[in-house]
Amino acid sequence: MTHPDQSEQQLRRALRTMNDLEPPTDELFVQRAVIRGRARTNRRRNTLIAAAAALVVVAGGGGAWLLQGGLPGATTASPASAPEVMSDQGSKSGADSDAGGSAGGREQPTLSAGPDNVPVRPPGVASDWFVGPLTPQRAAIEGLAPELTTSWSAVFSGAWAKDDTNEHIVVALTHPDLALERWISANVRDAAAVEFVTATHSYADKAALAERIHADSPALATEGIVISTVTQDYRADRVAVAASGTDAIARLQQRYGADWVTVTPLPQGAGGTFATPPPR
Amino acid sequence: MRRTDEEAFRAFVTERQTVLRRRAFLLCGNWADGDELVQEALARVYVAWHRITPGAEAAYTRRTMMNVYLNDQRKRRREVLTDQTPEPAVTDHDRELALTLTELLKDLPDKQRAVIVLRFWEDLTVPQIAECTGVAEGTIKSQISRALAALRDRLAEPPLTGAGAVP
Repeated sequence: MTHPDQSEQQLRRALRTMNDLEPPTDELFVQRAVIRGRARTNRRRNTLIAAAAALVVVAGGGGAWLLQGGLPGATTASPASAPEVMSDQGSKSGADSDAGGSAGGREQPTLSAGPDNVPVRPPGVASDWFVGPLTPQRAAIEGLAPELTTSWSAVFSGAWAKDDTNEHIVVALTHPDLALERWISANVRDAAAVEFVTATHSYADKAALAERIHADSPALATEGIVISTVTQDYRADRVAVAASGTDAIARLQQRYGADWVTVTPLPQGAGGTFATPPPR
Repeated sequence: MRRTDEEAFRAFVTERQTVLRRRAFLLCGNWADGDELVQEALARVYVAWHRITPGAEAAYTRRTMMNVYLNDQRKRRREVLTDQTPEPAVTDHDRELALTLTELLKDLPDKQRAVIVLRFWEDLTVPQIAECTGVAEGTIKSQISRALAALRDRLAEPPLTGAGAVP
C-alpha cells in the first residue's frame, strides 16, 4: 500500500515526464488557430445577423399585413433591406434589387406573397451560396460549407453554380488538393457535375479582408466614403463592396488592393447601413 | 478582431502552443485528439480575445480547454472508441513516454483526469482548479482523492522511465 503523500509525489514525477515529450512538428499550428478563430467569429456574426434579419422580415411582413388588413389584391410592403418579387393576380411584377443588394455577386433572397399577402421566402430559393432551385447537388455543397469554411478555409475559396439549374457546381480552391477534392466528390450527389478551379484568394483571407473593411467603415465614413455592403464574390474571387463617395472605387482599390476588391459605386447619400449580410 | 489584437493572439499561441499541446495530450491520450482540442479552444479564445483581461489569457485558455474537453468527452461516449493512437510518437523514447502516460491515466473518468492534470502537472491549487472547472472545491478534493486511490496500485508499480522513474 502506498501512502497518499507518496502517491502524490509519484504522480507528480510521472506527469512531469510529459515535459520531456515534444509535440510533433506542426508549422501551421498558429496559422490554423487564427483561421479557425476568424471562421468562428464570422459564423457567430452571421448567426446574429440572420436572426436579426429574420426578425425584420417577420416584423415587416406582420406590420404590412396589419396595416392592409389582409385585403385581397393589396400589394405587400417589403422590408427595406430585401428586394422582392410580388405576385399580383397571377402576374409577376418585380422590383429591381437595389445596388447594395446586387453588389457582391450574390443575389439576395426573393420574397413572394404568401397566404394573407404576408411575404414568405420560397423554400430553397436562396442561401448564402446559391440562388435558384434547391437541387440535391446544391444541398450537398451547402451541407459541406461549414466544414469547408472552417477546416479548409485556407484552401477553399468559394463555390457557385455553373448555370441556373444548380446541377453543376464549381468549387474554387487556392491550389489543387486531392484529399479535399476527393472528400467533396464523395459527398455530392453527382461527382462528375462538380468542377474544381483554382483561385488566388482563400475563403479565410477574403473573410478577413471583409472583416477589416467592416471595421474600417467608420473611419472611411469620416473620409467621405460610406460603405453600404461588403460581401464575398466567390465567382470573381474578390470581396465586393458597395459604397458611395467621391472616387470611392479608386480609393478603396488603392487601400485594399485592386486585385482584392470590386467596388460598386452608389449614389451620394446611399448606404450607411449594412443592408445585406456580411460575408460568411 | 483588430490587427493588433490578432498579432497579440498569434504571439500568445506561438509562445504557449507547446504547453497547450502537452496539456491536451495528457487529457486526450494522443496528439491528434489533443491538437484538435487545442485548436477548438483557441478558436473560442480568438472570438473572445478583446474581452479577456490582459494577463489572464492563459487562464482563460485553460478554462476554455477544460470546458471543451469535458463537453466533447460527454458527446464522445456515444461513439465507438479504439485504443489505437492515430499517429506514432516521434521517437522510441517519446513513444515509450507517451505510452506510459497514457497507460497511467487511462480508465480515469474524464473529470478526474482533468483534475489530476491541473493539480499534479500544472500545480494549480484546489481553489484555482475549482475556478477553472466551475466545480465546488469539495468536489475537486473528492475527485483528487478518488483518482489517487484509483491510481495507487499503478503508481506502486515501477513502470515509469525517464524523469518520472520511481527511485
